[in-house]
Amino acid sequence: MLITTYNCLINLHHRHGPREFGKICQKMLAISYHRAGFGHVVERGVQGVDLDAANGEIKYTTEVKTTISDSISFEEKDAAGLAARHADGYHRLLAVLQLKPLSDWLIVDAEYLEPGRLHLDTLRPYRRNELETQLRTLFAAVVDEHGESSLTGAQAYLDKVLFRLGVEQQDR
Amino acid sequence: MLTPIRLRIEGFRGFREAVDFTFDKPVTQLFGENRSGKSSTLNAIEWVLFGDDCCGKQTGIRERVGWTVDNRHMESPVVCVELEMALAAGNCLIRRSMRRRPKKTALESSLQVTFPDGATISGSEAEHRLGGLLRSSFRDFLTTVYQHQESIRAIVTQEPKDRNDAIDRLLGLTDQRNILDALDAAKLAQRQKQVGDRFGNFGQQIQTALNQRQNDVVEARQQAKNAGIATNQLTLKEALERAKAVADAIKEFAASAELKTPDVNIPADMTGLVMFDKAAKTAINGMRGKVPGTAEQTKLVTYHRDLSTLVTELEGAQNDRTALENSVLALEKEHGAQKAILVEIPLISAELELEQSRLRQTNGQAAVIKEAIAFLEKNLEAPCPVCGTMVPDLLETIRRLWTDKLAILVNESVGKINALRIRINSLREVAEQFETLSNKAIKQDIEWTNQRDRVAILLNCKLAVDDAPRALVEVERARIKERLNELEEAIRERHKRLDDIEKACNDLSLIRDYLRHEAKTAVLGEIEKSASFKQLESLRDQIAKLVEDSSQIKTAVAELSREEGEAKLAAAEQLIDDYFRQLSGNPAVQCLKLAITTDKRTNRNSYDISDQDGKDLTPILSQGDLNALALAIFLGLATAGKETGTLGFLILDDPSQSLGTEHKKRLAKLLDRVSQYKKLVIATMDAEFYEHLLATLTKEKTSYRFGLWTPAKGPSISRGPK
Repeated sequence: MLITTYNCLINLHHRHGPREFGKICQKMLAISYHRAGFGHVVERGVQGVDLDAANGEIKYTTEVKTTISDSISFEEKDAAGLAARHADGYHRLLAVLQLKPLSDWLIVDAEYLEPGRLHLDTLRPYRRNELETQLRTLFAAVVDEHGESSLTGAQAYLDKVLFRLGVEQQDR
Repeated sequence: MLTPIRLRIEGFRGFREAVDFTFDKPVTQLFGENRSGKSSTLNAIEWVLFGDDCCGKQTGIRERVGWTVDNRHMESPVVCVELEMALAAGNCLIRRSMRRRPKKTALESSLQVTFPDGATISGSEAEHRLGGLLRSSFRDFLTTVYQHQESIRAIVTQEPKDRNDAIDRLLGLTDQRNILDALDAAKLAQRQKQVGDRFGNFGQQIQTALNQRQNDVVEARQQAKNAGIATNQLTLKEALERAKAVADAIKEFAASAELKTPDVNIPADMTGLVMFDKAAKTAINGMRGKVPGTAEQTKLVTYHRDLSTLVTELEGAQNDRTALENSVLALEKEHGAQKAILVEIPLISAELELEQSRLRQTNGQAAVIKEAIAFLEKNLEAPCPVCGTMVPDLLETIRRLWTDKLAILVNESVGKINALRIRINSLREVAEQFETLSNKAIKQDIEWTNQRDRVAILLNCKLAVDDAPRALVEVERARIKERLNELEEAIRERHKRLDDIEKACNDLSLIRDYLRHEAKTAVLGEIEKSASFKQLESLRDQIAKLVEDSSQIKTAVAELSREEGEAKLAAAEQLIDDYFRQLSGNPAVQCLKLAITTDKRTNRNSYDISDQDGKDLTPILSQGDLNALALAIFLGLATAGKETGTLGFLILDDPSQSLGTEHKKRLAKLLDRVSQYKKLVIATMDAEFYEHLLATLTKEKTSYRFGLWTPAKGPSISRGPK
């Protein structure tokens, strides 16, 4: 992760706290999916899987997690939500952003993940390297573009950006 | 299945000469007291099959620690154990020996295996082939073939972990357990965590360094701002332009001050800036020392100081002279001129002389009068002592003469004399004062002359007599002062120019420092792009994959182990239950159940031994029952329908320990059942049990009786039940 990106995220985290920060990252990831060429992106605030991104045949449903520690909590409802979308033809993914120096997004297959406390290292075998590299680069650009405004505007600002981009937002 | 046929032991532990044993019957009994050689006979079978694996702490058997193989009572023991075993394909002969080579202290062992086809191999290949033939580790042998007392205890009396381990081995699940043990021992998850922690620590160090460097950047930016440098000027381009301006200013100054142009190269990059900073500051400091007028200024300052000193001295001298003159005037005013005083002193001296002469004269007369008065007072009627004339009232007349005239004359004279003395003393004192002042005046004159000379030297001129030295010096000093002011102005102006250049240089340093800190911060960002970091990331992924794979392997192996264990227990469950009830006769136990589950935490098989109601049996059993339970499991598995190993025999060493009479009887009956399936080698010191075996075992038996063992002869063994 670029130093500038990391610094901006740290500021966001300090300013808004972990919960809000997680939502902000989710929305920025949604923008990243959009920039990656996924024509249909859905971002959900409360109910259901956090992000859907579809581009014709390729469909991803992504549960988004942010953490400053070495593990995340993958809950039953997360697994259930992903399974439900999988039934609709979506490939299940888990996106984890560890806010630490030298860390970045991990985009992993969630198909074989069991609910519980998951150490980030245990996710590594399931990484989707290509998609991950693509999203990491795009995410850095999104942070660069919208980071400053998000410091003051938080989710509300990003909601407007998503609206302008035509990203569907559910559970508002 | 491998079964023993013949055993030859020589030089092994308590054995001396070679002793042969045959195992041609289904049951072989070894009977004798402790330390008669029974266990050594069984140990010889272990040793020939497993070599050093059956020695030492690694075996888990206490008595094997420090165990010796060779007979320590023999001078140069040659250890040799031969075991002939029957295979499906024929017989094989296993020969293991050990001897001490000449001049060497350690014993060398060797193994030779002859196969049914007649091929004989030795050395490490023999070990390898033998291992393949046996398909059993020594630890497995201890629990699946050789019922050692420690193994019995491990099954039921120790920690559940050890019990589960022992039962797994009994069930022939050693390979799976070994795989799980090996995977656990590798501690892959732990190592992965260590790598992750170290990565995390590295990340923390990066974070700390980043924070520090970002603070440095902020601080550098602020310092630049304080110096009037805007943020948008903190660029390399700006720095290089400023460097060029500084270099030009230095050259311009040098030219204007007619100094040698310093060697200051205009930088083209960041590295050049660092060198430039040093060179520029050195040049500026160098020029400061050589600013025109500085030398003259230094010289004139010294000259001015000397002039000032001289003025002070002249002033001092002048004041002294004035003071002296005033003193002389004051003295003259009070006492008159010195000349007059000097004239008056001898006159007063002469007058004093005269008066003293008069007084002497008067005193002479007075003395005569006094004498006369004294005479007349004594001689009232006497004539005048001077003229001899009778004079009436002579005494009275003389007395009157003394009081009316002489006394008055003497007093007057004395008074005059005193006054003259006072006067002359006073005059002399004043004369002295005049003398002192006069001497001072002389000295002052000399000093004054010297000062004039100094003035002349300092001013480098000749002084006329009527020249006022101080005035001359004052004039010169004023001139020098003026010149100094001029020089100071000029020098100040040049230094100001140099100050300006230095400030520009300092500003440049601030920009350079900012850029340097920014570059250091950026370096941290390059870490993730480096090949080393990417390789590390890749290695972490590989480690994660390895951990994941090993976890899946463990799960699969655990599942396989459990399934296999379940199958084997299913086959032996009835027998185990049967044997236990037969052995223990415990009325509280109507049914023994042995169930297997997988411990989720360890991925190992876990065995529950319970009664018909599902309650754990181990807490309520006596020592005899526990031994019976252990024997039941061991024998049940050994005689179950499915074979659990390649070795078709069982060795029981004192199996009747801790068993009561009834238990012993039952055990003998049980062993009779077992002997239908496996060849038995039973060692016992228990006479009662031995008799039960003789009476109960229906299969053909070979018995060896062990008598007294002695160091000189070894064990005393006879074949036959009695």
